[in-house]
Amino acid sequence: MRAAGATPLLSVRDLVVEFHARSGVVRAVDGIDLDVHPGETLGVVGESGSGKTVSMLAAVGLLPAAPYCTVRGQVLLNGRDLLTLSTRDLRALRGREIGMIFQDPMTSLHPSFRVVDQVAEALLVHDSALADRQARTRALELLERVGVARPDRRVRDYPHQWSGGMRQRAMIAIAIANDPPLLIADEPTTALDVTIQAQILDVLRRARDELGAAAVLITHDLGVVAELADRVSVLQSGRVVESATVEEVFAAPRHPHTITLLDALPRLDRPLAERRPVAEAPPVLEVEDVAVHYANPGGGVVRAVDGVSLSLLPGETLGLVGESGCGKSTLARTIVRLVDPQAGRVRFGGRDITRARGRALRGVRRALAMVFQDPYASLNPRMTVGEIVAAPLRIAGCYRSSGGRRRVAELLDMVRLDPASADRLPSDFSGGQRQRVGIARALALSPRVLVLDEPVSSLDVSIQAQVVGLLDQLQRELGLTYLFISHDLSLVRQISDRVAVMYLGKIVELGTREQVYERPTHPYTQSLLAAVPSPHPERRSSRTLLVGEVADPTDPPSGCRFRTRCAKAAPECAEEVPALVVREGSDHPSACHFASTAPPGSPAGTSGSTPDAG
Amino acid sequence: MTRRYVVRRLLQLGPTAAAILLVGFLLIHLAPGDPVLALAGENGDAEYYAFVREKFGLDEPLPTQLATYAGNVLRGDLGTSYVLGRPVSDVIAERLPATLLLTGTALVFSTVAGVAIGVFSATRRRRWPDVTVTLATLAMYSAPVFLLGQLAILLLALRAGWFPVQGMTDARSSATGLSHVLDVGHHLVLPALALAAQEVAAVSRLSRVGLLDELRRDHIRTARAKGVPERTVVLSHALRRALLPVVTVLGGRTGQLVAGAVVVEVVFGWPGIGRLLVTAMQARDAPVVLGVFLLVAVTVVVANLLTDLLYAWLDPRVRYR
Repeated sequence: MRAAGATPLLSVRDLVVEFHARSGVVRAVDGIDLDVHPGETLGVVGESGSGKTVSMLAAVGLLPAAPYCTVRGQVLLNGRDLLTLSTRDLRALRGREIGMIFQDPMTSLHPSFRVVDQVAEALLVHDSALADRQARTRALELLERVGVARPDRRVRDYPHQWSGGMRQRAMIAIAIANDPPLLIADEPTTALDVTIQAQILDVLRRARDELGAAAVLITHDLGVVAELADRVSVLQSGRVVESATVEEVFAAPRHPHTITLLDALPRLDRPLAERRPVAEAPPVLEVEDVAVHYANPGGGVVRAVDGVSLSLLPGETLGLVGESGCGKSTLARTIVRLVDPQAGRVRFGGRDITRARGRALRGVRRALAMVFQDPYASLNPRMTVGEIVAAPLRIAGCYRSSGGRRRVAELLDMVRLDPASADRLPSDFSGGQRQRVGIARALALSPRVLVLDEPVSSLDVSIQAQVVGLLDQLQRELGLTYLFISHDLSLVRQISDRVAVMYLGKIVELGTREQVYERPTHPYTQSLLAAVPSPHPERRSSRTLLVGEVADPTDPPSGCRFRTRCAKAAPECAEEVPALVVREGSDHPSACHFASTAPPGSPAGTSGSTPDAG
Repeated sequence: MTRRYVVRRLLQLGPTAAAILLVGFLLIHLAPGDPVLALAGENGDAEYYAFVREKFGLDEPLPTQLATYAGNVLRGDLGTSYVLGRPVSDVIAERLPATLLLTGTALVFSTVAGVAIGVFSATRRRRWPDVTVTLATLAMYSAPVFLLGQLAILLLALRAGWFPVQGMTDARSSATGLSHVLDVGHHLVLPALALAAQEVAAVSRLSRVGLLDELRRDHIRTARAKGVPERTVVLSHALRRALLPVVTVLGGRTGQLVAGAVVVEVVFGWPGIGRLLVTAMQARDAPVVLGVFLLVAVTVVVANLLTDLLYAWLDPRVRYR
């Protein structure tokens, strides 16, 4: 609650945004009021379609022009109404008085211009006296300030040569280039891994504090809000339903929608629902020492999966977590035989399916189904939902014998979709509904095992909760076995019986949910857990951040692959590859020479045992 | 890396050129009709035919003829015209500048005008200027070259008298220097416009769609959020990548233009390769036909190569694949 009572820096009054489509007028923002005081961070929270992004784009004049979209109301920045400014004045103000950061760092930078030049351009457009050379020097300083290591060596780099996290740092450099008094960050970390999210939130916080700038943080993730915001406005259907300090919102939310959002937030501190005990039985799926290597277009061999062994017991959920690029998806694709491994074996129901072909492979595909990550890309937009769900049945040649349209209706009903919607196209459905279609398709042939590759990562938190709830229920009703892949640790904790942590092609820790989350021994697992945003605004800790990003899989570090980012790394880590075995003082396997429940940073026992462990 | 990309692309030229030569040679020699008849007339006696056959090496088996021809081509010798009795390379060299001038002008004009029209309509999307331009370009695209050419001659040359009807220079004057250039330029206007018309339409449609698509991108929003003036956003940020499809068709368009040039040259009496080709085909002058074929095919291949190199400049990601 800084600067309460003073004149707000940004004041939005009765903002209305309407989109004019052929089908009619859509009111995306329906009269909202927001205030941001100098130096204050306002979290604007809501689900997709609640109008949070549209309202901010409208405020700075970045929406399409008049016939497509109308904006009414008042947006005062330092007393000037932005909605009545001329195009020229508004342009001069964007970037200089308001710095903006957008969601997807992969698409927000121009692919054909060098990164440095894009940062420099932010300076040049507002200062005609600035020479190109000076601008570039300043751009390098800015990149260094947001944590890009040695930007002077990356002067010639284009965005596609940078990782998502580095690109988002470049976006922040652009936003802060002209020391604006106001930053607007639209879902700045949604597209990033939890570790990179923690780094970016940290950069954002420091940038804001150094500038003394006010900020608007648009997000659907209350965890991010808890990390960064002073006050929160919750939006629903284009209206503000609750406005309060961040402490109040988390301690005593008033509006039912706020409560729904808070409940949906997967968190590490919530008591765990008891899982059903998994029956003692031989594993239904076994992965033995599987390796997948493929040629990198730029030269070298990518060791995407490098000697992974796992087994799935019937009826259990195995969670597989790790950062982007650590080989999770490749492993999933190998299991369902979309990718052929160079080494190792995959056994399903005791039979080796690694080289299965023809009839045998089709048999495997009936019993082993996959749900893909992006529900927008994994459904054919020209097929009706009914055709999509029926496709596996038709391919297996049992559409008619299984009941035809009746079976499709049954499957849609199973995933809580209206069976009458079978004749509609995927474009008529929201992201969450589309993912239900994807699940119905996977269930069509009554499989025993579902491989779920980041099934809810592209969905809003509240929708995530619904889909995860559905998956849980289906598992109970149908006795399914899940391999649940996600980079979201709190989500995996909610629905898994056992958890495998993967880093750079290898499993580094494996155990029951309680073992991995309550007594993690691998420094990588510990860092991942520390990076999860804590929904406790009153306890904003200065956490130890995992430094850097996943190493280059074409040239992995020798010995322990994690050692380049590990606080415990010692000389022997570079020489000997740590095996995934149960270490002394622990109750589950961990691939670390110094496995210990003591978090990295604190003095670690050299032998890997700590007195209080076990 | 860029250098390696260029070298790799250049190395691919060799096999392509060899394939073109093979295909062209076989097409001509497998076509029905005996070149000897064209050479020696329909009514010669058998002995004379045999003499001609031996003189031009036509009694050799086809592979030997091919080998001889390929060897000659490598040395820069495209053979001798049956009809004119002069080296094919001389005949082509004589006509080449006229065609280069015609197609080059049409290529440059259609690209520049097409992109300009595309930018004009994209920035006025679905308002009346855009709709008008769209209708006009569609009409232009639908009209065949010979129709446009004849219409242009009828209306602008014969009726209005603004432009000459035929040829490349005024037959009555023997002007030199600047007035010669102006004379050629005056003759060039109608054929070049007729040849470029369809291409202008195609390029303008492509660049309009490309630009509209590009203007919706996230990085354009970033540029606007930085405070980049709208003019720069359109002409620098958006146009650069919107031009990718325009560049993609550049190589293919060169082929189109050469094909169109054959028609335009005949309609306007333009003394270029196109008219040479038509005359040579009518006279079954195989060496000339083959020579023109080789030249045109290699030009298209080189145009495609340049296209790809330009592409790598516009989209740096291409270089690293």
